[in-house]
Amino acid sequence: MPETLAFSTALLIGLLGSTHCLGMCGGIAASLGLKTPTQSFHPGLFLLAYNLGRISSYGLAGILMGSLGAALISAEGGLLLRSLAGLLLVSMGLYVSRWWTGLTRLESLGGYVWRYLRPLASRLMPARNPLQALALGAVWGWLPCGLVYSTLLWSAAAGSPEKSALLMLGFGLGTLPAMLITGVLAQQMQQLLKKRLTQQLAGTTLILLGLLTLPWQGWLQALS
Amino acid sequence: MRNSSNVDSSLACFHCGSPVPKGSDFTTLIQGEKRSMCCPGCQAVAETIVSGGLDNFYRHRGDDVRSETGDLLQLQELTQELALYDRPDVQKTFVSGMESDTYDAMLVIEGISCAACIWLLENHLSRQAGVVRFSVNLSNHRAHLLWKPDEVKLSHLLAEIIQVGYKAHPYHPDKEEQLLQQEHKRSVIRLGIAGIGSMQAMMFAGALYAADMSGGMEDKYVLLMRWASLVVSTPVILYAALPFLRNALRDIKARHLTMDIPVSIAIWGGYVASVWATAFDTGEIYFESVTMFTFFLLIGRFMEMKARQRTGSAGNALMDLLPTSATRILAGGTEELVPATDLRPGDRILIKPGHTIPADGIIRQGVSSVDESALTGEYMPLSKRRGDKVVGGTINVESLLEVEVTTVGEKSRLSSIVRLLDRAQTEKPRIAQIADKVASYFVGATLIVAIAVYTAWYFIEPASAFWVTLAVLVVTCPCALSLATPTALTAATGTLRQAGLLITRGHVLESFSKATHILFDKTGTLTEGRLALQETHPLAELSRNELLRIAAALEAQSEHPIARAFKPWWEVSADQVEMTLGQGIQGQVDGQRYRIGKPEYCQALYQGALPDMPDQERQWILLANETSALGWFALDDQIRREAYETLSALQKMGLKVQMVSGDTSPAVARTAEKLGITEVYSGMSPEQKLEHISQLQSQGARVIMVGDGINDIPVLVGAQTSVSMGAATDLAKTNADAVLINNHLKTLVDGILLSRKTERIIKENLGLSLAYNVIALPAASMGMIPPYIASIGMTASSLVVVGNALRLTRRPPKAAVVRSSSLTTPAKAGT
Repeated sequence: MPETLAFSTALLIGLLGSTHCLGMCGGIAASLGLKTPTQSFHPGLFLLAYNLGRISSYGLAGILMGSLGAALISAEGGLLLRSLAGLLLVSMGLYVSRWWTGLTRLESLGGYVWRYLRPLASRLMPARNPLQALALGAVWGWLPCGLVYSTLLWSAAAGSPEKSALLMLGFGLGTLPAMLITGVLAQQMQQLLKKRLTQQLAGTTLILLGLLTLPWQGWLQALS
Repeated sequence: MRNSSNVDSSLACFHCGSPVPKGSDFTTLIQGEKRSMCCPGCQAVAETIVSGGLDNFYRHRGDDVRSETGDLLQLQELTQELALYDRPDVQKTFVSGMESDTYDAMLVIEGISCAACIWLLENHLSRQAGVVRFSVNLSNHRAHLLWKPDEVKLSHLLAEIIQVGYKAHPYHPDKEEQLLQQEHKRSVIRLGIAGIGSMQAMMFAGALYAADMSGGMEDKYVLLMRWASLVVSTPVILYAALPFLRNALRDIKARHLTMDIPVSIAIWGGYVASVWATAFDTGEIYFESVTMFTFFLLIGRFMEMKARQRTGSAGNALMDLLPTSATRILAGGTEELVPATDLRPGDRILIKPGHTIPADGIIRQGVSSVDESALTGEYMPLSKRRGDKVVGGTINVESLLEVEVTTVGEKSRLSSIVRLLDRAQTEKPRIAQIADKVASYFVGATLIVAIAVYTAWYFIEPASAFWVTLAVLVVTCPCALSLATPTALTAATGTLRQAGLLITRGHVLESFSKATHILFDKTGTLTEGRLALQETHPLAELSRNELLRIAAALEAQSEHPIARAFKPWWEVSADQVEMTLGQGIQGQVDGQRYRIGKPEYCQALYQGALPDMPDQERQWILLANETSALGWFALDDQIRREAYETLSALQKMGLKVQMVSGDTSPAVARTAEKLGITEVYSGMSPEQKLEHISQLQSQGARVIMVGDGINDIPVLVGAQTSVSMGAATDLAKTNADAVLINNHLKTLVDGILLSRKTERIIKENLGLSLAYNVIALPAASMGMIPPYIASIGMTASSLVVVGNALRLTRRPPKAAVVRSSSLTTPAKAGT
């Protein structure tokens, strides 16, 4: 069985999942990229800083969840965690393809956290210099996003903080192309990525990945 | 995304354009309309955008921001005023860099409500030719403008700001505020660095801890994490924690024990030991504890500074009230716009309704109402007419006023208030001094305990000695102790100023709460200090109103206090008026000759018998025509509104109320009776009053003396605490410990209640912080508290103390009696 809890998988999840984030965060990226209030910085610098901040927040979350995962992991715990990870990937696929949007419930949970971070983000907008963009990105990383949350839970199954962090970084990198492009070619990309077909394709792939992640062998052993 | 809102608004997410799932309900209020979102994520983003004030994002979505046109009419009116700002002598006061080709100015922008405004302003202004840089600060609404004066005029730029819908005027920072600003900025940066650093250090510590629990991490990762902790903690210690070290060194030099010393030992000791442990890969690291400790300490300091500056800025905000320009009337009747700083006593100025009065003065023409709330806390505008005084910084509400300037600058009422407030705040009351002393002993004790603890543990368990000592130093940090009093006092002083009681001495809050006796002067204190018509007694067939109309007509041109009593009935003015000093007035009304004044003076007109006075208790004046006496008018000093309620409230609060008056007339007894005062001393000379007070004080009484601040200055000085009525007081020279700026006696009750509450809160605070230390110190010494928990405990105790003190910033509680009284006016009930 191929190891699905790998950097490459995380990258793929990010890439596939980002068809979803475009609409949500793409606008913000665009506003950062195009509407720099002062002319002293290159717009690209803002985008880069923002994304760097965002991805490092993911990495940080990875360390946190990974530590938690590592603490929980044992024979049964690990099986449970891995099952959860697989199921989450499947629901992520369903979410991205818009067949079933149950993940919004997970997002709602994150809404509570976000309530505290929101004023911070509001204050940082619009970012006036790359440093602010970096900070904004770092805050933005905690946005209630089903995609991030389920990837996070998935990465916890890796069983160690540094592995989880690595997976989250991979996920972040995966979302990068979509985010960078929207900053510059917002509308054109939006049209393409919002096509149903694109979403359904990405969703199906994610579901497959999820099914692969599920610990079938472990279940069989546990049953027998 | 461009068209998402109008393609299918019932189904598409307003934010991202994705379809909204059926049955979901995620909405956000955007520009007044409820918009549906597809998921909590979009909802969160949209709410963030809206609360960040970037609604424009949705309006334009990628289009350029359009400038909104301001009111052009208003603009034309302002152009003249704006041109003032191009004058070099005006610019001198707020522009720097005038020797170079790029000028530099701070502006205050009015009308900023959100970040989008700033975006708009910066965009618009930065595009103007000649502007080098323009940046706006959202929190204090100040803009920093750099421009080239040979390319563009400042007035043009100000007009551009108005054109996009805002108002700008120069900002004159006083030196002190500039310093405060720098201090504030630096603490925010420190706080930020400490916050981020300590969070990161916590992460690593958490990971190391978790790894330790679950059976170990590979050594190289452990090492990596330790080094990473070192990296994130170093800026926290080297930059954010630097002030503690600096203060500690200063205090050691001055041989003065302050809490900065144990704090510095803890922070630097913990840091150095951890660096050592990291570099040689041996022993424990405490990066998370020392960084968190720093962070929490900084939070405490920051909150204290905020509380301090809130009252401080209440003073500075007062100075901001003065407008920068004024309309002066020249000798020939022409008007010119001048900078307010050019005004001199004797100048005549015009104040349009809605404008701020630029200097203290006397109304020479016009009737209007003036909003003095910024100075007195009184929210109802007061009506003012010819001869009334107006105060710079208050707002003319209703109609045009012509005012003669009496005082400007330093001597003005506004400057005096600010100065007095400053004085009160620089004086340390006894309780604060005691607290300081206690804190300093406490620090000494802590250091000794720390050494003892270290020694003891070194023999018991050397490995733990260090962190236990660290925990002791952190947990006992007497921040709460030294925060307990100053924050409470500052908060109370600020609250009272806003309520209309200006405290000018540091000891007032303390002596207010301990007072046993409160003595009132009569005239001008318990009474209004001006005559009012009390009764009209007709002698002939003329009605009361007719009598009053005639009297008012005769008195119309007099400035005498008696004349003021008749003002409300004025309809016409008499002709051929002759005034006889000390006697009365003669004049013609509707073709008939009348006299008003002393009975004998009137009798001389009609040459008949003098009618009997209705009673002997009051001052009566007679009105007569050429044939007979027409009627008597009784005039008396009015008892102040709320005087009765105030006195009974004070008595209920356990204070002995006495009235001391220089007056010998029966009016004293009558006033006392009306007010329910049993201890009355009448006919007292200032010396006798003073002796009376010293006698009371020598018997152990603590006396508050309330006077009008004019006739009783020596008496006021003699009392432990003196309060003067604000209206009459020359603030520039006042000796009173407190001034009732709003002239409402009832504020005195609020002041005493709040001072008692302050005392209670200070005691609570001291008790809390001591109790905390009593519990925490033994626990920490026994090694039961790890350093990071210790820093949480330390912070929690300081936050509790500061939070407790901030309860004093709420408006003072209403006196209980007010509820039972129906006499309170709506104006007061609304405050």
